[in-house]
Formats: sequence, structure tokens, C-alpha cells
Amino acid sequence: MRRSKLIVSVLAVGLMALTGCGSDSLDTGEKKGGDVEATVDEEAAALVPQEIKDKGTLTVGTDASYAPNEFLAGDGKTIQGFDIDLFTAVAKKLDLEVEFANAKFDSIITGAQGGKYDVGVSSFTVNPERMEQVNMVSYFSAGTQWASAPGNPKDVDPERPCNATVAVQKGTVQEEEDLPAKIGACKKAGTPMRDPLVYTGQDQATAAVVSGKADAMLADSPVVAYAVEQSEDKLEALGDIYDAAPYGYVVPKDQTAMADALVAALKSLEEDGGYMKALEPWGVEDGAITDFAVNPEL
Amino acid sequence: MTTPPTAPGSESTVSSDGAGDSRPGMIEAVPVRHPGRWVAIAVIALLVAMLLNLFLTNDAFNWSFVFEAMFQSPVIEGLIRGTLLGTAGSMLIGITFGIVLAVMRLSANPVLSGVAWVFTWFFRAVPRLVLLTIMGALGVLYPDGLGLGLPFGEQLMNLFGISNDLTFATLDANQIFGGIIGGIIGLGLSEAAYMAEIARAGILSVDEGQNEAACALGMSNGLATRRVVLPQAMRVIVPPTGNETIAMVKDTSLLIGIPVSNELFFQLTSIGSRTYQTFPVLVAAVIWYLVICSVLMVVQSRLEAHFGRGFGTTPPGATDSGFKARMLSMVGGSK
Repeated sequence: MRRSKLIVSVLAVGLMALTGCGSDSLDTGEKKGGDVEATVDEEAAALVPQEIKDKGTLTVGTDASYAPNEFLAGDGKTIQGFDIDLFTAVAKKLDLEVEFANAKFDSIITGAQGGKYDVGVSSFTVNPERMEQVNMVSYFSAGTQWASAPGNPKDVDPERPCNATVAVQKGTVQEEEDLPAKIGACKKAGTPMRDPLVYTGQDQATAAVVSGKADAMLADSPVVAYAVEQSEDKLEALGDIYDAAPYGYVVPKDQTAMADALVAALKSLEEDGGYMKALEPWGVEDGAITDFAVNPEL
Repeated sequence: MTTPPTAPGSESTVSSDGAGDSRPGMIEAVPVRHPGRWVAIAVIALLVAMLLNLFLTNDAFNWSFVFEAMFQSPVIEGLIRGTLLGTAGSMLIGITFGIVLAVMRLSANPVLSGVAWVFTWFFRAVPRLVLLTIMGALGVLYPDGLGLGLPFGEQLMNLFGISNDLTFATLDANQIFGGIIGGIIGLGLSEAAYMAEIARAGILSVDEGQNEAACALGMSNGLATRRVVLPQAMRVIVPPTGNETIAMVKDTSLLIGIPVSNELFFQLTSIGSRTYQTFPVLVAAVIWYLVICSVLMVVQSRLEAHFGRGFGTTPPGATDSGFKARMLSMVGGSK
């Protein structure tokens, strides 16, 4: 038994050493954004339903794989991005705290319906199908953009990507609406396309193009712009941005009052300049909008 | 005495000439030759050289990055708080619950054994990734929180016209099922189903006479199980349990289904996505899993030696059948 005690103590010492010696050398992402100053807007805060006021904290579901909108900081825990900065400021207007919970993108809407999250903030493009299930509060505008390796070695045409292996994130508008239409067109034209590589995280889809596993990817325009910038010449934007549509906060169907409160807070934030301050550090101010609304007309 | 010369290569000589009067000469034994073995060794050596060459010369490995990524603090934290803690917690639940289930399954009470069977049936049939994804979503069932109190307390009190529901604490279901706790419960329950079968096999491996003898000595059924049957069953239970523990280390990578992101594999792949070094981080993950599982294998062999005492199993290396001895015999040098 002396021997096994020795093993246990060696393990214990090893573990203690490990906890002490973690390095942060790859923690390169210097924090760009940060807290946007915002004062409580009493009128907007009055719209918040009593039960949420009592709680004081909003639990927000977000998929932290979508840089620069929402992604993990170098410490592997903190979620950062323009969506995070903007929504934190919105909550401040309503005198609420926010707690962001990392989740898989395609689980956030069901999570909000089931009460797991009070709000879903994860670059959700507003579309009729989603508005049928939940209330959506528009706050930003983005389109779809393609990207490939520099010089587009496989000659991928975003209009007709029949010859390409395409990477895309699961549950996005691109995966559910955009690509299926193009795959159908290719099939009709007699040049069936290879099955796209569907990833649960956008970061994996981007990495697939960089490593050469996929020929091209498509995602929301700010995301592609940021990936091209960050990858340092390993990616190149392809073609133009198309299908511009608003992003919306996901609020459960029975929480219409909360959705109205979010619109009021966004308007108040836009008036005092906090809205642009949240967008600018991430280079996404092109997508700013002013007509915030619950379930906007498309 | 002189030995008559023999033709080289002949297996043995009986006599040098046809006279038949001389005694047979000394046997000049030539070891059986195994040309096939040498060919196999050459092929393997070639493949190993090719592999080493791939490891050392292919830039995609980026070894300096591999080791840098392995020791990043989020990775180390994920390793300890997700992978190791997750394994320890779920194996603890799995082993404890598994033994209880095995005893239940072997019980004479048909309700108990039926319940144990249904539990095992369910958790063995559901894939772990699916199970963990369900665990993460369980909060949907308890939107008002998870009440701790008397079962059906609310209905019971309504019967008496009292508005208390006998709940003395309410926990946020999403807090419980959401994080690593949910993961440990999910993996632990799934593991219990497997451990139940392993423990059952172990208990059945102990001769019925042991139990009878213990009862004859005046031990109660429970005491006989604890003092006589289970200690002997351990010899059969320990090796597959070690196997299960090692499998569990690997299955903690499924915690992303919950989702728990403070876990080794997730943290390494997220470094990969952030830095566009996707392959080296996978190599780093493989190295970590190899290290953890190697340590566990050592622990397992010690445990096996402990519980296998008195069953004639010799520790490896004690006999002449070790690697060195067998290599020597190939070149005919084993004496």
C-alpha cells in the first residue's frame, strides 16, 4: 500500500503544479470593446415586467463562436463582442444585470421558449419562421458574405457554388435558406453539389476554409469581414454582400412587454450615442439601424 | 572420442557411415529459423521510420505550438475542472449506483430487480451525447424551479384545504442541469447502467457456497454480501471498472452536449479556431488524453494486483516470457 500512496501523492503534486503553471501566451485577443456607459432610462425600465424586475438579472443565451458579434475571449470563459457590449448597455438602460450563458446556436430559441433564457442574443437574423415562434426585436442589419482562400483557387462562384465544398454554421439563415436554394439550383442544372460541411460553431467553419478542408464559406457580413481581418491573408472576401436583413433579440412569445422595453431601451441608447459606441470598437458600424421594432415588417 | 564430421545444414546426424556400429554423434541443433519474423520486423521498422519522418518534418504538426497550447491556463483549467473532475464525479456516481443496482437486480424481490432492469435498459440504450443534450435541456420541465419537499405536497395540502405546498427549498433547475453538475449526473447515471452489469457479473462469479458458509456462521444476508461476497467479487469487478474509467475520461469530451465549455477538448479546439491552428490543437488533445489514460492504467494494474492476491496471477516480468526474453530467443541467445 505504500506504493499506491506514493502514486497518489505524485498525482496530487502534479495536479497542483499544473494549476500553477498555466500559460497565457496564446491569449492574444486584447479586449477591444468593453462597457458602454449607459444611465437608467426610467420610462423604458417601467415597461419591464414585474417578475423580471424582481429577478434583477437577465439570463441570456448566446453562441460564443461568432466573432466579432459574440465570441470567447482568450481566457476561454469571458464572452465578448459587439452583441455583448450592446445588450449589456440595453440592460443598463432597463436597470437590469445580464448573465451571458454560452449555448449551441440551434438550441437558443428552444431554450428561450422553455424559460432557460430570458433573452437570446446571438446575431439572429429576423425571418418569418423565427417570428412565428418568438418575438424578435430588431437592432442591427447584416447581409450574407462569402469568403475563400486568397485568390479563390477553386473559382467558387457565390451565385453558383456547384463545384465547391462549402462550410457553414448549423441553424443559420445561410444553412437553412440560402444554401439549400443554391444546392437545388445546381441539381436542376445537372451539376449536383457536394454536401456542405455543416459545423455547430462558425469558428470551426472558418477554420475549415483556412485549413483547406472547405473551398469557401458563407456567413453574416460582419463575421466574414472580421475573419478576413483576423486570419492575416489566409482568407479573402468573395463577391458582394447580399440579402441584408435585421438581427433581432429573441424574446419568448408571452413576453411582449419585455420586447417593448428592449425597443424603448435601444431608442434611448441611440439618442445618447451609446448605440454607436458599442458598435464602433468592433468595426461593425455599417450595420447600424434606427428603426428598432418588435417583429419588424420584412 | 571423436565426432564424425557432418554435412552442414543437416538437421541431425545419426551415423557417419553405413556401418551402424558407432554410437550416434552429438546432436548439432540448429534453432528453427523464422525468416518471416525478420521480414515483419523490417516492414515495421520501415513504417515507424516513415511515421517519425512525418512527425518531424511535416510543418502542419507545428510542435512548438502543440506544447504551447497544451499548457495554456484555460486548457489546464478545463483539464482539471472539466475532464478530471467530471470523470471522478461521474465514476463515483456510476460505481456506487451501479453496485446498488446490481444487488437490486439479484434481489429476490421482483419489483426491485424489475426496476434495476428497466434502469439499465434505458441508460444503456441512450447514447451519451444524446443523454447529455437532454440533461442540458431538462430545465424546460421545471420552469418554476426544482422544489425540494414532500412528493405531491401541493396536492396533499389542497386535500386539507391548506395553501402551503410543503416545499422548503426551490432550486433553479437550469443551474443544476446546466453546468458540469448536470454533466456529472448524466454521465454518472449512464455509467451506473454499465457498472451494474459489471458488478452483477462479479457477484455471480463468487461461488454460492461462500454465501451459504457465511450464513452458516450466523451472518445476515447484508453482512455476508459486504464482508464475504463483494470483496471476492472485486477481483472480477476491478479490471473492467478500470476500463470504464478510462472510457469515461474520453467521454468527458461529450460534455459539450450540455453544453459545458470548461473542458479540455473544447478549450483546445477553441484555441485552434481563434488562432487558425486547427491541427496542432488536436495533437495536443491526443497527447493529454494519452497522458491521463497512461496514468490511469498504472493505477489500474496496481489495484488489480491488490484485489487479485492469492489467485495465482503473477506480476508481469516475473516469468521468462517478457519482451526481452522473447527477443533474445529469436536470435538464439536465450539460455
